[in-house]
Amino acid sequence: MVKKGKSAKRNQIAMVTMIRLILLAVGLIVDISISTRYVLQREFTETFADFSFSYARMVADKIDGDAVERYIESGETDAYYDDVQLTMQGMVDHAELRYLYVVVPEETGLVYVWDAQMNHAPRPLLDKWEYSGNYPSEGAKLAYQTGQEQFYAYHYKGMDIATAITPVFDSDGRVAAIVEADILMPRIHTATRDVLTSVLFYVALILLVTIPMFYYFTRKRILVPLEKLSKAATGMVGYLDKEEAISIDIHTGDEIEQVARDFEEMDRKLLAYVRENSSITAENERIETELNMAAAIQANMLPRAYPAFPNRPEFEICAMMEPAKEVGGDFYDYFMVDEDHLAMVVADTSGKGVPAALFSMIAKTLLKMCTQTRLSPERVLAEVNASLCENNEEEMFVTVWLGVLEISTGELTYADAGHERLLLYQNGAWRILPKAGGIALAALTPEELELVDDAAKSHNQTIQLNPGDAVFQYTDGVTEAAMTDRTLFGEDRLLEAANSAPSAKPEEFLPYIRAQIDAFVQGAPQTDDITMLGVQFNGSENNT
Amino acid sequence: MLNIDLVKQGNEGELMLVGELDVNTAPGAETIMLDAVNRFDRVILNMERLTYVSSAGLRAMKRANINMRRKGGTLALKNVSKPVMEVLELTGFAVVFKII
Repeated sequence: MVKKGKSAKRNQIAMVTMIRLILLAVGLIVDISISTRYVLQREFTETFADFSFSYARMVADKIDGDAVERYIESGETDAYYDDVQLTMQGMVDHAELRYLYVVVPEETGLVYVWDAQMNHAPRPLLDKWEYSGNYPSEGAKLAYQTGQEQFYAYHYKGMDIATAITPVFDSDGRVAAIVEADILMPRIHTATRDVLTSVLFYVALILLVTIPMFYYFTRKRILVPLEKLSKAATGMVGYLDKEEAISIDIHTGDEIEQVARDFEEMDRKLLAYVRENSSITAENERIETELNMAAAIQANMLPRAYPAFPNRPEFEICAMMEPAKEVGGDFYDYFMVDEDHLAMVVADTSGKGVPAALFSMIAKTLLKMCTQTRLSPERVLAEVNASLCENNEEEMFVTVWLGVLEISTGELTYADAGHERLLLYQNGAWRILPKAGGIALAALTPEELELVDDAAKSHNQTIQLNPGDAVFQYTDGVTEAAMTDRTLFGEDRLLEAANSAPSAKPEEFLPYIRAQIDAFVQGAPQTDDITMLGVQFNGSENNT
Repeated sequence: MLNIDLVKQGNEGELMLVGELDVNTAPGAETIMLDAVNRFDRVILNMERLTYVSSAGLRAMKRANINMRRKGGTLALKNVSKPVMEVLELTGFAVVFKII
């Protein structure tokens, strides 16, 4: 079906051009007919004018004007009259004139003096004829009055007549009469027809020769190259893994060849573009795959099992991290330091993406290793800070909250390095605990820390948890979750949300807070990692 | 969006920060701040109209501060807005910078 449509389209070019050619020929023929007719008419008329005038003048020269006046006056003929009559009749017979006559034009008709006609008897002297038809009576009168020659070509009773009018003067120089020589011009139509016939013949002949030539030319110079171009265009998008750009075999030396060269250039560029694009796509896919793997590795590094410690009824812990990109700078951690101590970490590395994730991984490992040596939180932070500051040329830093819960007593010792304030649930209400200094880890070297304010150092804080009490830690992805107009969720809204929560039990409390944030941002995209950790103390056998 | 205008006064350069210093604007801001640190002995970051600072922004400020200390000059924060001050205090950076 497609092929049929295509070839029909190709034929259309030839058809349309052919129709135009034929229309042109018809126009040419019409034009030639009109102009031929006009030229012939003019030529014939001139020829007949010369011819008829020569006879009219001959007669005018021959006759005596005084005799004419005499004949008109007397109405009598004589030998001279007869002699002229014979001569005129001879002229008519010899020259195939239709009429040759000498008359005096009056107001309503002609008065004959002499008359000679082809195949008819001549009108007698003083015979009268009323003007009729297209006869140029005004011209006859004009010639008679002014003595000037006149010529008329006109149609009269189915005949084309050329009339030459010449005056006859008497001895006083007055016009005695006029001579008229009438010739039939039957050959104008015939001649026109003959010329047109031959013109038509030659035009048809030329068309017969030129149309096949034109068709051949159109095919060779236009249709065949167009077909090649069409095939080449299909080839351009047909297969993208081809070795070389297309080469089109068109050497017509005209605009079509130029188009072919343009096509080749376009295909070269397209091919180069496709190659570049596919290598970029492959590279992007590789990066995406690696990022997904990195995300999986990162997720696996965070403890996720719930319940985390099914054998420890004294507390309940739950945490979550949602990175804004594939991998995030946020992390959390919790692990048992020993049978009686639960360690908890919530941290946020500056920046996002892979660099932040790598830095986080180092920080997380260091924090866990160091905490397991049973150093107090403030000492752990100081040690980890010193380690992170070595070779930290990217000058990244990480805010950390580290807490250790003594399960047997419910005593929570924590220290923070530039992290968010802790939320405490006690006596049925949530409140925010004040900070006790501490700059983010890796922000200042131990030496620099000694130089600045003591507030830059992290200090241990201790709170006593009673059964039912809970703490909640998070990263700035929570408080800085924003609506599209950049209004932030903020600490106040967080506290409000916490106090409206139906339960302080981490498993229910965390999803509730997450839902509150979602409701607040109203679909605005997440711009920062969101991390939350909650722990509730159920009491130990010792203090229940 | 962040706009930074430099107000030059002899050996002291004052940068007017207008907008938000976040992960997107921090790289450009860092370049400008380090350039100012190179040119002036005393650089002031005017934060009157800075509405937000993220950790990436803090890092850029910290780098400028450290470079300035290395060359023996002073970098100070001026007219720190309330939300930015909260971040500085929370992260502990408030003690690092000279705030005027």
